[in-house]
Amino acid sequence: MVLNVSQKLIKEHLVSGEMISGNEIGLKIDQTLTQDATGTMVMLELEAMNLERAKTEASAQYVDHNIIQEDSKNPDDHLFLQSATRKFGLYFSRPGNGVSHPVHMQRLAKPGKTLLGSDSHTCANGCMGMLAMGAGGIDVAMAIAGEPFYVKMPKIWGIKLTGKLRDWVSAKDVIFELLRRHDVKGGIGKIIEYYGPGLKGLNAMDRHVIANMGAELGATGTVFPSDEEIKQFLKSQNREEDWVELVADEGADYDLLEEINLSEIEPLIAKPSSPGNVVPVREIAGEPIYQSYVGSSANPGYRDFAVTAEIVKGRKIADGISFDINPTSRQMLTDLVSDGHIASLLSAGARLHQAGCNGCIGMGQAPATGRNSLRTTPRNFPGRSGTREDSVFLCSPETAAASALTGKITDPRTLGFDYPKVKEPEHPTVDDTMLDEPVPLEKAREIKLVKGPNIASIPKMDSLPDELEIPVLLKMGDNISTDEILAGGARVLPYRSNLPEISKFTFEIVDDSYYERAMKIQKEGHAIVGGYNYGQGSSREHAALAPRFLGLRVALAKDFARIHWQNLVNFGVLPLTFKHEAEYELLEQGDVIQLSNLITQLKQGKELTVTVKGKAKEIKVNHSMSERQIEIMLKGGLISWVRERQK
Amino acid sequence: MGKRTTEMIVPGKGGYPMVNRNQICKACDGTGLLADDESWQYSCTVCNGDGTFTSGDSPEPAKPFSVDENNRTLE
Repeated sequence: MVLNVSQKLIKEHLVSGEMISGNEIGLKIDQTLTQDATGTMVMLELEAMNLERAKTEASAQYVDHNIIQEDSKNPDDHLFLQSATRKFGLYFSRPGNGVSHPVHMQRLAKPGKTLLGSDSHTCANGCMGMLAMGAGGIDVAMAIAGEPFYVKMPKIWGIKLTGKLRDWVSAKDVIFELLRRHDVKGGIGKIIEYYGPGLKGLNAMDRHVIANMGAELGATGTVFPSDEEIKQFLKSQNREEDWVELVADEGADYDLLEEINLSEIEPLIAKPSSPGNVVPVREIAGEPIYQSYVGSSANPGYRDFAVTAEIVKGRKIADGISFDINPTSRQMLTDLVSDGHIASLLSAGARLHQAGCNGCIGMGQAPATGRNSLRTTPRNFPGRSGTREDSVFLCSPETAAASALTGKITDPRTLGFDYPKVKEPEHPTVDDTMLDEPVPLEKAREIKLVKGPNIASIPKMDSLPDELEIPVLLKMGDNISTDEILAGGARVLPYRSNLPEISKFTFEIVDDSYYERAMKIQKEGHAIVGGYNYGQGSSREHAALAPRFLGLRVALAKDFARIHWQNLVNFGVLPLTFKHEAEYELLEQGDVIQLSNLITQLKQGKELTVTVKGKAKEIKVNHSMSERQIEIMLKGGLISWVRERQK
Repeated sequence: MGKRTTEMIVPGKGGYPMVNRNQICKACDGTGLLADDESWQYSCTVCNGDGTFTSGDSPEPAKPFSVDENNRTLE
């Protein structure tokens, strides 16, 4: 059978389902990646699962997000993560070692493997001939515990690259071209696979740039072939033995086809406030800027910094410009220092920051209110920079450097000098000093988790009872978001590794008496009622986990937002919908609902009967769980389900 | 469901107006920003990013948010 690269990767890792687009498939996961913002909860979940050792081929925990140590919370988390990686047999990348995606690419990524990460830009490692996908923390914890990852079989979107990039145009402009054509939802339900003669002009890190921002198209993943270029990259990392060739078969087909002629691309820029708001730089040239920012996993390569340095070398940046340089890995920073590029940047007036995510996610370097900030980062939705009224443009390193020199948005082709040609180091630095290897099992068994005062274990969650008689503690309207369930604000976020504490904020926006009322009957349990689109909004697993901790057993709504529905199932809260939506009106806050023979009812069909105590009311409700999900629900959620399988 | 109204605060020549401490948005603590699981910040959806709200009498349910495959807000 003739297959493209994505199909080969999926076929090799398929453990359940059929490769028909839209069907649920289960995939074996070879490698995982967690970053510190999501990682603390993943490690607490592994502890709650009673996992002895990671069952993947390689799992790595990176500390790259919360690296500003303004009080003890972040360093406490770092120590906890280090102890957890030692206990569970994971790699640990220490603070300062760099951003997860490029470091993983340099040291651990392997062609032909699957990678699941609790970070939406995990797809960046698709540049290595891997199937790399971002997912929720609990999904990654499951993968570390050896469980498959379930996803709907995506369509494979083949992008044929032809031609060659012209001077002053680089990989960032290629992904901008795709965003210009298809906007931020164009890749949903798809894997983007690049092929064609244009690949020859793109090195491994160029491909990383393009794969990284597949996330901005909403794609499930981005895949490049593993060819001679990847072989050379691995050789430069002293890992040539990890290379395998992985290319599409002759005559391989794609569900969708498109072509990008690299020779026709010009410098592009995404205007505020969406990565899909792309125009040619020349169209908005002359706009004054406040900041020019180089770095992030969307431009992480040696070339990206070296070309910036060569453009500003021997020159000075414009007065009043904040020119922020954010190296992405310690290895590469070492080479940039050795080759004199950092000196060129500093002499020109740059501010040098430590290797990490930094201002990309608003951890420092926030721009002044309403002032234009040019960034080589992947996202510019409002507030992502840490400034609520921000004005962030996304661009290539060439455009960022040119604009830093002139103090206004500048098409780099107009600078008036030759495009500097940058040569990659022949023998780049390879140094794992700050990447701790997994501890041998015998030693790992003796390791105790180091928990600071703000880190608490996840309590054991009980199984679903066969009979439920529980009060409705809240009745809500339509579009209740995860922000209203549990907001991720400055007061709340510090407690995200402390479930009992963070739970105190649950539903406080809707009804600040909820926590007290729920705690009084925590053991007996309760229900909530919602309208349409319950649980919509931002990614937040705590919006399911915290109410569950407080005793939420049943969420009854007109319908649910998809991811929150999944999170409710994962954490053992039964999500039910009204068979007849008008019956939403029959339920009131304070009603006591009864569900009898629940286990039998769930196993027998999709329809259940809810009775309202003392009101002679009977309401028909539906569930839409699969057999696998019912099994998880009956055990009380994924953590309990896996814990039992570890025995 | 809780009722709320939002007072728009627009920074002008005089900067931000004085804030009534009783009207500070509980969700974002007046910062106007929230963060998702990965620490990506976005405009607070409860107060629309102005940092304040009052418990008033105008029911104003939240609108549907534009999100990607992993529920990361696209606005």
